[in-house]
Amino acid sequence: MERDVLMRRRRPILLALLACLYVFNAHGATQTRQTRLLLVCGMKSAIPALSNAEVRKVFLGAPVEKNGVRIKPLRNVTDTQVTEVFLQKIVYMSARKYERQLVARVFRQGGVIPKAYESFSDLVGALQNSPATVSYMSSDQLAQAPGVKSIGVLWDGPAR
Amino acid sequence: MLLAGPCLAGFSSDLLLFPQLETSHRSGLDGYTHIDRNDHEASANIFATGESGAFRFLGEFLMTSDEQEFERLQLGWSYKRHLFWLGLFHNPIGYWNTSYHHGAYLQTSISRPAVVEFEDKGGILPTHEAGLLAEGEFDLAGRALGYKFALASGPRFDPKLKHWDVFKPGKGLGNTSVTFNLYGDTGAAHQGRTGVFVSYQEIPAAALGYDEVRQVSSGFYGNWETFHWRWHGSAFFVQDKLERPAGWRTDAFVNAFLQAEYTPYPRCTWYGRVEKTVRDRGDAYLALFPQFVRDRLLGGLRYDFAGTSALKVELSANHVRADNYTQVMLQWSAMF
Repeated sequence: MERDVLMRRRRPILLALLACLYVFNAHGATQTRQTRLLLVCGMKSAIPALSNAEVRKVFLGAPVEKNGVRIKPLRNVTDTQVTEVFLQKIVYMSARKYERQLVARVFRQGGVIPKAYESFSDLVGALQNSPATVSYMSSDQLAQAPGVKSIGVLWDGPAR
Repeated sequence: MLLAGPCLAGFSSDLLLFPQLETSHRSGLDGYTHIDRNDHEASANIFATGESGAFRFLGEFLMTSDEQEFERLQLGWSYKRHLFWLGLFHNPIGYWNTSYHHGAYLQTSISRPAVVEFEDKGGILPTHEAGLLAEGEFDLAGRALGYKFALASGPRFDPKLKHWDVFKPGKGLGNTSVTFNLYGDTGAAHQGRTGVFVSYQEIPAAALGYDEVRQVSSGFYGNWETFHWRWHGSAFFVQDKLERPAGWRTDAFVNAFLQAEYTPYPRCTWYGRVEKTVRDRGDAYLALFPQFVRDRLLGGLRYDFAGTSALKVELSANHVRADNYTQVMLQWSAMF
């Protein structure tokens, strides 16, 4: 009897907790957006499709040649979600660790750190003008990037 | 971080500055020791690199309260996945010496393992050389097989090991130095790497009363990384022959170290390292380095903040030839 009373008293608290959990999860669900991340280059570029392992190498600064051309990476930091998906699903590193890896490689072997573009129009311009460059962007971004084509899907799924 | 970007058509460059402040305190030393109880050092490492077509330039200039000198000055030419350098460079011995240089920000710990300590810090092996360096990679069943080959002039005893000084090019060159390093990568850019190396050195040692020290060091190393964990270590087998007009003496010792790093959060890394030397008792070459840390047990914490700054604290138990001491180090380092 006492136990029933106790349960009845606790029920509103439990319901409130469940409601909080639902709201929290619902909030989480709204954060989980489908992202289609594409490997892109300029329309005039002859760079073929690359495997995800090759893309990882290119963006870590390792030399990768295709059709006699050394591929140069351009980092797209115009959209936080695109950057996060790229780091999590392709490079497998935190942003801080990735930055240190890039610098460490240049520190060892010279060369230059792959340029990071904060302006989307500058990124599109660089891809259009240099056929040896590749970058990554979401399908939404590609739709707004004239003169840029997709050469492969890097990730198609939830962003988180 | 990036101070200079592209400045000429077809030429791109980077300029990085690595400042650091470091303080260390040692306790438990014998009363008659020559080891300082306290050290404080401020330094700045300027790193410049440039690329124009197949040509590369790389320069590293270190400024401390004690010295100002070029630590690396290299002109290179790249062909596909191969690089050919001419100049002053780091001896490709083991893993640590080519992975980390004078900018402490890039390495997790404050201290370097004693076996790959720089010459001017009391290091026992040649870490700098002047001459030719070739390095590159081949694809092997989806993995990279890499090499580094150096044919150069190594350091000389003056009275401790001293590498060639760019500002005094006419003197300070050592004798023949040849190093070969072969490695396999299981992932891109060092994520998983194992390798072997061998290095032959002829080191002039008139300052110590010897004609020459002939040294062969060989060994193996590995680096394994996951998102949170990193393990890396090396083993060195060092044979040395000290030559005098009256005769010569040969000794050999083994040194190995293993460092573990755990990063539970992106800003925070716990690390530990164990270093051990065996067959060192009575080694005449090691006797030339009384402050060489033969055994060490170390633990530390690195905290990254404000973009590209790091604060590190390190505690270690150290054994040198005739003494033992505990050391606490604190360091701020950054990259701009």
